[in-house]
Amino acid sequence: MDELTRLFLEARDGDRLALAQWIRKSQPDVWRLTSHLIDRHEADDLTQEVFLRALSSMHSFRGESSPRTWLLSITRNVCADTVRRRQRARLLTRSAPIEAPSNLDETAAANDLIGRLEPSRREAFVLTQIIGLSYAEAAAVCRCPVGTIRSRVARARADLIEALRSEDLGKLG
Amino acid sequence: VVDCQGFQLLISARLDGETNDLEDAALSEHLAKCSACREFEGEAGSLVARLTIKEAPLVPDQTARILQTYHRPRVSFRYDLLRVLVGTLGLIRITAAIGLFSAGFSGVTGGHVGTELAAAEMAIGVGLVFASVRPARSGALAVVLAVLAVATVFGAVMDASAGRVGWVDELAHFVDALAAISLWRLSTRTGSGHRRTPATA
Repeated sequence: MDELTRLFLEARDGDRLALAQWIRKSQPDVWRLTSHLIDRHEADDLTQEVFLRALSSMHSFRGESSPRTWLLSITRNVCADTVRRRQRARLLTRSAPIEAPSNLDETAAANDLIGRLEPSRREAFVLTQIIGLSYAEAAAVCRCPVGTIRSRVARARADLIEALRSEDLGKLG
Repeated sequence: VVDCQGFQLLISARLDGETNDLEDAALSEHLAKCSACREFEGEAGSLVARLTIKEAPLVPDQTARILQTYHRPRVSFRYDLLRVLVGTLGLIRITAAIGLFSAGFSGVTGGHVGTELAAAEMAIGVGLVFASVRPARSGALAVVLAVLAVATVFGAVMDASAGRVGWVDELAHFVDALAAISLWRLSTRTGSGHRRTPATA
């Protein structure tokens, strides 16, 4: 049993110290995933939301995957909810006569090479390359076949290589 | 026939250690004769390093903020009472085991059988104390105690009915049944009353 799983189980049994350690050791994964799927400036609040959701449903953890994968699935759900909230907000403001100024965070994300990837490719790339999950674990988080993760990671790599080539050409030019 | 795009998928998977021997062999054979794919492999290999240098943000520690905001579900008084009961039963058994050990070693009573009985008593006592501290881990011990309770209560009823022992003397065996029921409750429910689910990961 890995350390994160042990801490999670002890935390679920009511060990307050284990709970603090589990949060401390798990939060980099959650923060990185939220910062790539949404944006860096909202990552703090989203990380907090993920943990509050996870803590209130700890008792329903079924052990079908590791606590790490389970936590990242919750992270993905929180990010999906955030995207839906943003889309609803955009729909509501569409009829407004003066458009709100463009979000600085979105500009930052657009400048980010990973942020420019197609969302499902970005998700697979971040989970496997930045967070370090195996393809099987990433497939469990995304609830899709392993082959889909394999293909999304490869396509993300190809897109990034292409983007880096253009960036290098730009510098030369 | 796999084209270069297909091989680039294999290159990506191999970099992550996610290919099998057959795919490795096919890929090596293709790379030997395809310069475009070799170039892709080189760039893909250094990609994460290039991106990580650009990324590498400092992740802020939000543990205190999260714990401050999180309101733990209230643990019921009955649940705490069960834990205290199980822990107390464990301490009683440990005390009894120590008594049996010293009596066995000093030759007062029991002899070798007495010390073996003491060892079993000690094991159950320590198990009960541990279960009161870690209730989620008490499921297996609940099964052991349930079997012990059925066996000892059955023996007590038979012997008391036959007049070999007094009913009052044998009442203590019913405590085993009480401990088994308490342990089962602790192992299957959380302090806030939710059903516990197994963690096999």
